Amino acid sequence: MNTTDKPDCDAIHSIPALIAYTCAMESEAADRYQDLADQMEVHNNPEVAELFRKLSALSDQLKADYLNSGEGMELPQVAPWDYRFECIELLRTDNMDDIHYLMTPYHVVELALRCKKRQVEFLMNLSKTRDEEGITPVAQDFMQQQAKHISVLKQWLIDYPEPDANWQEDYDPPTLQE
Amino acid sequence: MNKAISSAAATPKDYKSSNKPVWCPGCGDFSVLSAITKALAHMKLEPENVAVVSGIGCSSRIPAYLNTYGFHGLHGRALPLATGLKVARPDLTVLVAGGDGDGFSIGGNHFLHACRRNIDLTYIVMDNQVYGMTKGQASPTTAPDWARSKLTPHGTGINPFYPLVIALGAGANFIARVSSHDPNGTARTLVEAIRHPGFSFVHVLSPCITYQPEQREWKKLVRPAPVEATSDASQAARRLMTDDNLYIGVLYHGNRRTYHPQFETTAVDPSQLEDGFLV
Repeated sequence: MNTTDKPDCDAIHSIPALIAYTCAMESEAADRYQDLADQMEVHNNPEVAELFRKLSALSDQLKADYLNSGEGMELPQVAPWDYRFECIELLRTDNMDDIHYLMTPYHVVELALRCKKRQVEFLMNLSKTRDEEGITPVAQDFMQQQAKHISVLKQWLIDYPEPDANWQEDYDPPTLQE
Repeated sequence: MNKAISSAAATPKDYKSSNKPVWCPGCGDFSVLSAITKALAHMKLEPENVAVVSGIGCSSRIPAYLNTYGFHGLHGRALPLATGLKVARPDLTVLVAGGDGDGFSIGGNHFLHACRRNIDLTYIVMDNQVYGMTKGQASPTTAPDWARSKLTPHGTGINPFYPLVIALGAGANFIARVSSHDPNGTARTLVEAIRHPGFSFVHVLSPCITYQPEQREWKKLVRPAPVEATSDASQAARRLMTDDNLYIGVLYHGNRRTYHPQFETTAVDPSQLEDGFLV
Protein backbone atom coordinates (compact mmCIF):
# COMPACT_ATOMS: atom_id res chain seq x y z
CA MET A 1 0.00 0.00 0.00
CA ASN A 2 1.30 3.46 -0.85
CA THR A 3 1.57 5.57 2.26
CA THR A 4 3.59 8.61 3.16
CA ASP A 5 2.44 9.65 6.61
CA LYS A 6 4.58 8.54 9.51
CA PRO A 7 3.63 9.25 13.09
CA ASP A 8 6.04 11.57 14.86
CA CYS A 9 7.71 9.18 17.21
CA ASP A 10 6.61 5.63 16.46
CA ALA A 11 10.13 4.34 16.09
CA ILE A 12 11.60 5.87 19.24
CA HIS A 13 12.02 3.06 21.72
CA SER A 14 15.63 3.46 22.78
CA ILE A 15 18.01 6.27 23.71
CA PRO A 16 20.03 5.99 20.47
CA ALA A 17 16.76 6.18 18.47
CA LEU A 18 15.67 9.19 20.52
CA ILE A 19 18.96 10.95 19.78
CA ALA A 20 18.89 10.01 16.09
CA TYR A 21 15.33 11.24 15.61
CA THR A 22 15.76 14.48 17.57
CA CYS A 23 18.92 15.17 15.58
CA ALA A 24 16.96 14.58 12.38
CA MET A 25 14.30 16.97 13.65
CA GLU A 26 16.83 19.75 14.36
CA SER A 27 18.62 19.07 11.10
CA GLU A 28 15.36 19.40 9.19
CA ALA A 29 14.53 22.59 11.10
CA ALA A 30 17.98 24.05 10.35
CA ASP A 31 17.60 23.27 6.63
CA ARG A 32 14.13 24.75 6.50
CA TYR A 33 15.28 27.95 8.25
CA GLN A 34 18.09 28.18 5.68
CA ASP A 35 15.62 27.74 2.82
CA LEU A 36 13.42 30.47 4.26
CA ALA A 37 16.45 32.72 4.73
CA ASP A 38 17.39 32.19 1.07
CA GLN A 39 13.84 33.03 0.01
CA MET A 40 13.84 36.25 2.00
CA GLU A 41 17.27 37.26 0.76
CA VAL A 42 16.12 36.83 -2.84
CA HIS A 43 13.01 38.86 -2.09
CA ASN A 44 15.05 41.71 -0.63
CA ASN A 45 14.14 41.22 2.99
CA PRO A 46 17.66 41.00 4.47
CA GLU A 47 16.73 41.62 8.10
CA VAL A 48 14.33 38.68 8.12
CA ALA A 49 16.81 36.55 6.16
CA GLU A 50 19.48 37.18 8.80
CA LEU A 51 17.10 36.20 11.57
CA PHE A 52 16.20 32.94 9.82
CA ARG A 53 19.92 32.19 9.52
CA LYS A 54 20.38 32.78 13.26
CA LEU A 55 17.54 30.36 13.92
CA SER A 56 19.16 27.82 11.63
CA ALA A 57 22.40 28.17 13.59
CA LEU A 58 20.50 27.62 16.85
CA SER A 59 19.01 24.41 15.47
CA ASP A 60 22.45 23.26 14.32
CA GLN A 61 23.79 23.96 17.80
CA LEU A 62 21.00 21.93 19.39
CA LYS A 63 21.71 19.08 17.02
CA ALA A 64 25.39 19.17 18.00
CA ASP A 65 24.41 19.13 21.70
CA TYR A 66 22.12 16.15 21.16
CA LEU A 67 24.87 14.32 19.28
CA ASN A 68 27.31 15.00 22.13
CA SER A 69 24.92 13.39 24.56
CA GLY A 70 25.03 10.25 22.44
CA GLU A 71 28.80 10.08 22.20
CA GLY A 72 29.98 6.49 21.99
CA MET A 73 26.54 5.19 21.04
CA GLU A 74 25.75 3.69 17.67
CA LEU A 75 22.86 5.76 16.34
CA PRO A 76 20.41 4.24 13.87
CA GLN A 77 20.31 5.64 10.34
CA VAL A 78 17.15 7.65 9.84
CA ALA A 79 15.88 8.17 6.29
CA PRO A 80 13.87 11.35 5.63
CA TRP A 81 10.73 9.30 5.00
CA ASP A 82 11.03 7.56 8.35
CA TYR A 83 9.64 10.60 10.12
CA ARG A 84 7.24 13.43 9.79
CA PHE A 85 7.58 15.94 12.62
CA GLU A 86 4.37 17.89 12.95
CA CYS A 87 6.24 20.28 15.25
CA ILE A 88 8.34 21.68 12.42
CA GLU A 89 5.73 21.60 9.67
CA LEU A 90 5.22 25.33 10.38
CA LEU A 91 8.62 25.93 8.79
CA ARG A 92 7.61 24.63 5.39
CA THR A 93 8.44 26.89 2.48
CA ASP A 94 4.83 26.55 1.30
CA ASN A 95 3.29 27.60 4.62
CA MET A 96 1.60 30.64 3.16
CA ASP A 97 -0.34 31.34 6.33
CA ASP A 98 2.88 32.33 8.09
CA ILE A 99 5.45 33.03 5.40
CA HIS A 100 5.27 36.23 3.36
CA TYR A 101 7.98 38.08 1.49
CA LEU A 102 7.17 41.24 3.46
CA MET A 103 7.13 39.50 6.84
CA THR A 104 8.94 41.27 9.67
CA PRO A 105 11.35 40.01 12.36
CA TYR A 106 8.41 39.94 14.76
CA HIS A 107 6.66 37.38 12.57
CA VAL A 108 9.82 35.29 12.33
CA VAL A 109 10.31 35.12 16.08
CA GLU A 110 6.64 34.48 16.70
CA LEU A 111 6.73 31.59 14.18
CA ALA A 112 9.91 30.15 15.68
CA LEU A 113 8.38 30.32 19.16
CA ARG A 114 5.31 28.39 18.07
CA CYS A 115 7.55 25.81 16.48
CA LYS A 116 9.73 25.50 19.59
CA LYS A 117 6.70 25.08 21.84
CA ARG A 118 5.51 22.23 19.61
CA GLN A 119 8.94 20.63 19.83
CA VAL A 120 8.78 20.80 23.62
CA GLU A 121 5.31 19.21 23.51
CA PHE A 122 6.70 16.46 21.30
CA LEU A 123 9.50 15.73 23.78
CA MET A 124 7.13 15.96 26.74
CA ASN A 125 4.83 13.48 25.07
CA LEU A 126 7.77 11.14 24.56
CA SER A 127 8.93 11.45 28.15
CA LYS A 128 5.46 10.59 29.39
CA THR A 129 4.62 7.75 27.05
CA ARG A 130 7.84 5.74 26.79
CA ASP A 131 8.43 3.03 29.32
CA GLU A 132 11.84 2.01 28.03
CA GLU A 133 14.57 2.59 30.54
CA GLY A 134 16.37 5.90 30.33
CA ILE A 135 14.25 7.60 27.67
CA THR A 136 12.35 9.85 30.06
CA PRO A 137 15.37 11.60 31.65
CA VAL A 138 17.05 12.10 28.26
CA ALA A 139 13.84 13.51 26.74
CA GLN A 140 13.50 15.81 29.75
CA ASP A 141 17.09 16.96 29.35
CA PHE A 142 16.40 17.75 25.69
CA MET A 143 13.27 19.63 26.75
CA GLN A 144 15.35 21.80 29.05
CA GLN A 145 17.70 22.61 26.19
CA GLN A 146 14.72 23.58 24.05
CA ALA A 147 13.42 25.69 26.95
CA LYS A 148 16.66 27.70 26.93
CA HIS A 149 16.06 28.53 23.30
CA ILE A 150 12.52 29.55 24.09
CA SER A 151 13.92 32.06 26.59
CA VAL A 152 16.20 33.46 23.90
CA LEU A 153 13.26 33.78 21.49
CA LYS A 154 11.11 35.49 24.10
CA GLN A 155 13.86 38.04 24.56
CA TRP A 156 13.99 38.58 20.80
CA LEU A 157 10.24 39.11 20.77
CA ILE A 158 10.72 42.06 23.11
CA ASP A 159 13.37 43.46 20.76
CA TYR A 160 11.10 43.24 17.72
CA PRO A 161 7.72 44.92 18.27
CA GLU A 162 4.61 43.84 16.40
CA PRO A 163 4.30 45.73 13.09
CA ASP A 164 1.33 47.80 11.89
CA ALA A 165 -1.74 45.92 10.69
CA ASN A 166 -1.04 46.81 7.04
CA TRP A 167 2.48 45.36 7.00
CA GLN A 168 1.79 43.17 3.97
CA GLU A 169 0.39 45.90 1.77
CA ASP A 170 2.42 46.18 -1.44
CA TYR A 171 1.47 48.87 -3.98
CA ASP A 172 3.83 47.37 -6.55
CA PRO A 173 3.52 43.61 -6.17
CA PRO A 174 6.15 41.53 -7.95
CA THR A 175 3.74 39.18 -9.69
CA LEU A 176 0.52 40.07 -11.49
CA GLN A 177 -1.56 37.85 -13.76
CA GLU A 178 -1.33 38.70 -17.44
CA MET B 1 29.63 22.05 -9.74
CA ASN B 2 31.27 23.77 -6.81
CA LYS B 3 33.15 21.05 -5.01
CA ALA B 4 33.61 17.37 -4.60
CA ILE B 5 32.15 15.87 -1.44
CA SER B 6 32.65 12.62 0.31
CA SER B 7 29.43 10.76 -0.37
CA ALA B 8 29.96 8.59 2.70
CA ALA B 9 29.07 11.55 4.90
CA ALA B 10 26.81 13.31 2.42
CA THR B 11 23.96 15.42 3.69
CA PRO B 12 21.23 16.98 1.55
CA LYS B 13 22.92 20.35 2.04
CA ASP B 14 25.99 19.06 0.20
CA TYR B 15 23.97 18.72 -3.01
CA LYS B 16 22.79 22.34 -2.99
CA SER B 17 24.71 24.96 -4.92
CA SER B 18 25.36 28.46 -3.64
CA ASN B 19 22.72 29.87 -6.01
CA LYS B 20 19.53 30.83 -4.22
CA PRO B 21 16.20 29.90 -5.82
CA VAL B 22 14.27 32.84 -7.25
CA TRP B 23 10.90 31.10 -7.05
CA CYS B 24 7.97 32.87 -5.42
CA PRO B 25 7.64 32.25 -1.69
CA GLY B 26 5.32 29.29 -1.26
CA CYS B 27 6.21 27.68 -4.61
CA GLY B 28 6.03 23.90 -4.52
CA ASP B 29 9.32 23.62 -6.39
CA PHE B 30 11.28 24.39 -3.19
CA SER B 31 10.08 21.07 -1.80
CA VAL B 32 11.07 19.23 -4.96
CA LEU B 33 14.56 20.69 -4.73
CA SER B 34 14.72 19.55 -1.12
CA ALA B 35 13.45 16.08 -2.08
CA ILE B 36 16.06 15.69 -4.83
CA THR B 37 18.89 16.59 -2.44
CA LYS B 38 17.55 14.17 0.17
CA ALA B 39 17.27 11.37 -2.39
CA LEU B 40 20.81 11.93 -3.69
CA ALA B 41 22.22 12.08 -0.16
CA HIS B 42 20.38 8.92 0.82
CA MET B 43 21.77 7.11 -2.23
CA LYS B 44 25.23 8.49 -1.47
CA LEU B 45 25.73 9.42 -5.10
CA GLU B 46 28.80 11.49 -5.84
CA PRO B 47 27.67 14.85 -7.29
CA GLU B 48 30.10 14.44 -10.16
CA ASN B 49 28.29 11.24 -11.13
CA VAL B 50 24.91 12.94 -11.37
CA ALA B 51 23.62 15.22 -14.13
CA VAL B 52 20.37 17.16 -14.01
CA VAL B 53 19.04 18.33 -17.36
CA SER B 54 16.16 20.77 -17.78
CA GLY B 55 14.32 22.86 -20.34
CA ILE B 56 12.76 26.25 -19.73
CA GLY B 57 10.34 27.45 -17.09
CA CYS B 58 10.29 28.15 -13.36
CA SER B 59 10.94 24.54 -12.40
CA SER B 60 13.60 24.15 -15.10
CA ARG B 61 15.87 26.41 -13.06
CA ILE B 62 16.54 23.51 -10.76
CA PRO B 63 19.96 22.43 -12.14
CA ALA B 64 21.38 25.80 -11.09
CA TYR B 65 20.43 25.13 -7.50
CA LEU B 66 22.13 21.76 -7.34
CA ASN B 67 25.77 20.94 -6.80
CA THR B 68 25.76 18.28 -9.53
CA TYR B 69 26.44 18.62 -13.22
CA GLY B 70 23.57 20.39 -14.93
CA PHE B 71 22.34 21.56 -18.30
CA HIS B 72 19.67 24.25 -18.62
CA GLY B 73 18.64 23.50 -22.18
CA LEU B 74 16.16 24.72 -24.75
CA HIS B 75 12.42 24.88 -24.17
CA GLY B 76 10.95 21.38 -24.34
CA ARG B 77 14.25 19.78 -25.33
CA ALA B 78 15.42 18.47 -21.98
CA LEU B 79 14.60 14.85 -22.80
CA PRO B 80 16.56 14.58 -26.07
CA LEU B 81 19.52 16.24 -24.38
CA ALA B 82 19.33 13.84 -21.48
CA THR B 83 18.91 10.90 -23.85
CA GLY B 84 22.09 11.85 -25.66
CA LEU B 85 23.94 12.26 -22.38
CA LYS B 86 22.80 8.93 -20.98
CA VAL B 87 23.65 7.08 -24.19
CA ALA B 88 27.11 8.63 -24.25
CA ARG B 89 27.72 8.29 -20.51
CA PRO B 90 25.69 5.34 -19.21
CA ASP B 91 27.68 5.49 -15.95
CA LEU B 92 26.01 8.78 -14.97
CA THR B 93 22.77 9.06 -13.04
CA VAL B 94 20.74 11.36 -15.26
CA LEU B 95 17.73 13.23 -13.93
CA VAL B 96 15.53 15.37 -16.14
CA ALA B 97 13.42 18.11 -14.61
CA GLY B 98 10.86 20.57 -15.86
CA GLY B 99 7.32 21.74 -15.83
CA ASP B 100 4.05 20.81 -17.49
CA GLY B 101 4.36 23.35 -20.30
CA ASP B 102 7.94 22.41 -21.09
CA GLY B 103 7.32 18.68 -20.89
CA PHE B 104 3.83 18.16 -22.26
CA SER B 105 3.38 20.99 -24.76
CA ILE B 106 6.62 22.22 -26.28
CA GLY B 107 8.33 18.96 -25.43
CA GLY B 108 5.30 16.70 -25.79
CA ASN B 109 6.65 14.76 -28.71
CA HIS B 110 9.93 14.12 -26.93
CA PHE B 111 7.99 12.92 -23.89
CA LEU B 112 6.23 10.24 -25.95
CA HIS B 113 9.42 8.96 -27.50
CA ALA B 114 11.45 9.07 -24.29
CA CYS B 115 8.80 6.82 -22.71
CA ARG B 116 8.89 4.57 -25.78
CA ARG B 117 12.71 4.31 -25.89
CA ASN B 118 12.88 3.41 -22.22
CA ILE B 119 16.39 4.70 -21.65
CA ASP B 120 17.45 4.71 -18.00
CA LEU B 121 16.40 8.26 -17.09
CA THR B 122 14.32 9.74 -14.28
CA TYR B 123 11.97 12.45 -15.50
CA ILE B 124 10.58 14.74 -12.78
CA VAL B 125 7.75 16.97 -13.95
CA MET B 126 6.61 19.69 -11.55
CA ASP B 127 3.05 20.19 -12.69
CA ASN B 128 1.30 23.38 -11.59
CA GLN B 129 -1.09 23.49 -14.53
CA VAL B 130 0.08 26.93 -15.63
CA TYR B 131 2.90 28.75 -17.43
CA GLY B 132 4.22 30.59 -14.39
CA MET B 133 7.39 32.16 -15.78
CA THR B 134 5.42 34.06 -18.44
CA LYS B 135 2.90 35.21 -15.84
CA GLY B 136 0.10 32.76 -15.86
CA GLN B 137 -1.20 31.28 -19.11
CA ALA B 138 -3.03 27.97 -19.53
CA SER B 139 -0.82 24.91 -20.01
CA PRO B 140 -1.69 21.43 -21.36
CA THR B 141 -2.79 20.26 -17.90
CA THR B 142 -4.93 23.31 -17.06
CA ALA B 143 -8.61 22.62 -16.38
CA PRO B 144 -10.80 23.62 -19.35
CA ASP B 145 -12.82 26.13 -17.32
CA TRP B 146 -9.83 27.95 -15.83
CA ALA B 147 -10.54 31.53 -16.85
CA ARG B 148 -8.02 33.56 -14.89
CA SER B 149 -5.72 34.38 -17.81
CA LYS B 150 -6.52 37.21 -20.20
CA LEU B 151 -5.57 34.88 -23.06
CA THR B 152 -8.33 32.44 -22.14
CA PRO B 153 -11.00 34.62 -20.51
CA HIS B 154 -13.63 31.88 -20.87
CA GLY B 155 -11.27 29.01 -20.16
CA THR B 156 -9.53 26.91 -22.78
CA GLY B 157 -12.50 24.63 -23.30
CA ILE B 158 -9.99 21.88 -24.10
CA ASN B 159 -9.62 18.61 -22.25
CA PRO B 160 -6.44 18.55 -20.21
CA PHE B 161 -3.53 16.25 -20.94
CA TYR B 162 -3.31 13.22 -18.62
CA PRO B 163 0.43 12.69 -18.33
CA LEU B 164 0.41 9.43 -16.39
CA VAL B 165 -1.98 7.74 -18.79
CA ILE B 166 0.05 8.96 -21.75
CA ALA B 167 3.30 7.81 -20.11
CA LEU B 168 1.91 4.34 -19.53
CA GLY B 169 0.54 4.10 -23.08
CA ALA B 170 3.82 5.30 -24.53
CA GLY B 171 5.85 2.74 -22.60
CA ALA B 172 7.33 4.37 -19.47
CA ASN B 173 8.70 1.72 -17.13
CA PHE B 174 7.99 3.42 -13.78
CA ILE B 175 5.17 5.85 -13.06
CA ALA B 176 4.55 7.69 -9.82
CA ARG B 177 2.66 10.71 -8.62
CA VAL B 178 3.89 12.68 -5.62
CA SER B 179 3.00 15.92 -3.91
CA SER B 180 5.33 18.77 -3.08
CA HIS B 181 3.51 19.01 0.24
CA ASP B 182 5.36 15.87 1.24
CA PRO B 183 9.04 16.41 0.39
CA ASN B 184 10.18 13.38 2.38
CA GLY B 185 7.70 11.06 0.67
CA THR B 186 8.77 12.59 -2.63
CA ALA B 187 12.40 11.84 -1.78
CA ARG B 188 11.55 8.20 -1.16
CA THR B 189 9.74 7.92 -4.50
CA LEU B 190 12.67 9.58 -6.28
CA VAL B 191 15.03 7.00 -4.81
CA GLU B 192 12.78 4.23 -6.15
CA ALA B 193 12.50 5.95 -9.51
CA ILE B 194 16.26 6.41 -9.87
CA ARG B 195 16.90 2.78 -8.89
CA HIS B 196 14.27 1.41 -11.24
CA PRO B 197 15.82 0.53 -14.60
CA GLY B 198 14.50 2.28 -17.68
CA PHE B 199 12.47 5.45 -18.06
CA SER B 200 10.94 6.56 -14.77
CA PHE B 201 8.32 9.26 -14.78
CA VAL B 202 7.61 11.11 -11.53
CA HIS B 203 4.68 13.49 -11.74
CA VAL B 204 4.84 16.08 -8.96
CA LEU B 205 1.79 18.09 -7.97
CA SER B 206 3.66 21.32 -7.28
CA PRO B 207 1.35 24.29 -6.70
CA CYS B 208 1.84 27.70 -8.26
CA ILE B 209 0.48 29.81 -5.43
CA THR B 210 0.87 32.98 -7.49
CA TYR B 211 -1.19 32.12 -10.58
CA GLN B 212 -3.13 29.10 -9.34
CA PRO B 213 -3.71 30.06 -5.67
CA GLU B 214 -6.54 27.53 -5.38
CA GLN B 215 -3.89 24.80 -5.64
CA ARG B 216 -3.14 25.43 -1.96
CA GLU B 217 -6.06 23.10 -1.43
CA TRP B 218 -4.09 20.20 -2.95
CA LYS B 219 -2.47 19.76 0.43
CA LYS B 220 -5.84 18.70 1.84
CA LEU B 221 -6.91 16.71 -1.21
CA VAL B 222 -3.92 14.52 -2.04
CA ARG B 223 -3.87 11.09 -0.43
CA PRO B 224 -1.86 7.91 -0.73
CA ALA B 225 -3.13 5.56 -3.43
CA PRO B 226 -4.97 2.75 -1.63
CA VAL B 227 -3.29 0.08 -3.76
CA GLU B 228 0.10 -1.52 -4.19
CA ALA B 229 2.09 -0.50 -7.23
CA THR B 230 1.43 -2.91 -10.06
CA SER B 231 3.62 -4.26 -12.83
CA ASP B 232 0.54 -5.19 -14.85
CA ALA B 233 0.13 -2.46 -17.46
CA SER B 234 -3.54 -3.17 -18.11
CA GLN B 235 -4.35 -2.97 -14.40
CA ALA B 236 -2.33 0.25 -14.15
CA ALA B 237 -4.22 1.63 -17.15
CA ARG B 238 -7.58 0.99 -15.52
CA ARG B 239 -6.42 2.66 -12.33
CA LEU B 240 -4.89 5.67 -14.03
CA MET B 241 -7.89 6.19 -16.30
CA THR B 242 -10.23 6.31 -13.35
CA ASP B 243 -8.26 8.08 -10.63
CA ASP B 244 -8.85 11.75 -9.87
CA ASN B 245 -5.20 12.80 -10.31
CA LEU B 246 -4.81 13.25 -6.58
CA TYR B 247 -3.64 9.78 -5.54
CA ILE B 248 0.03 9.75 -4.71
CA GLY B 249 2.54 6.94 -4.66
CA VAL B 250 4.17 4.55 -7.09
CA LEU B 251 1.42 3.53 -9.50
CA TYR B 252 3.25 1.35 -11.99
CA HIS B 253 6.63 -0.34 -12.13
CA GLY B 254 7.18 -2.37 -15.22
CA ASN B 255 9.92 -4.70 -16.32
CA ARG B 256 10.42 -3.71 -19.93
CA ARG B 257 13.93 -4.07 -21.25
CA THR B 258 15.94 -0.88 -20.93
CA TYR B 259 17.18 0.41 -24.25
CA HIS B 260 20.89 0.94 -24.39
CA PRO B 261 22.49 1.18 -27.81
CA GLN B 262 25.89 -0.44 -28.13
CA PHE B 263 28.31 1.82 -29.90
CA GLU B 264 31.72 1.14 -31.25
CA THR B 265 33.38 4.27 -29.93
CA THR B 266 36.59 5.59 -31.37
CA ALA B 267 38.42 8.43 -29.74
CA VAL B 268 38.81 11.32 -32.11
CA ASP B 269 41.34 14.11 -31.77
CA PRO B 270 39.34 17.38 -31.46
CA SER B 271 41.65 18.99 -34.02
CA GLN B 272 40.30 16.54 -36.60
CA LEU B 273 36.80 17.82 -35.90
CA GLU B 274 37.93 21.39 -36.41
CA ASP B 275 38.92 20.54 -39.97
CA GLY B 276 35.31 19.76 -40.76
CA PHE B 277 34.28 23.30 -39.91
CA LEU B 278 36.84 25.09 -42.01
CA VAL B 279 35.33 27.40 -44.62
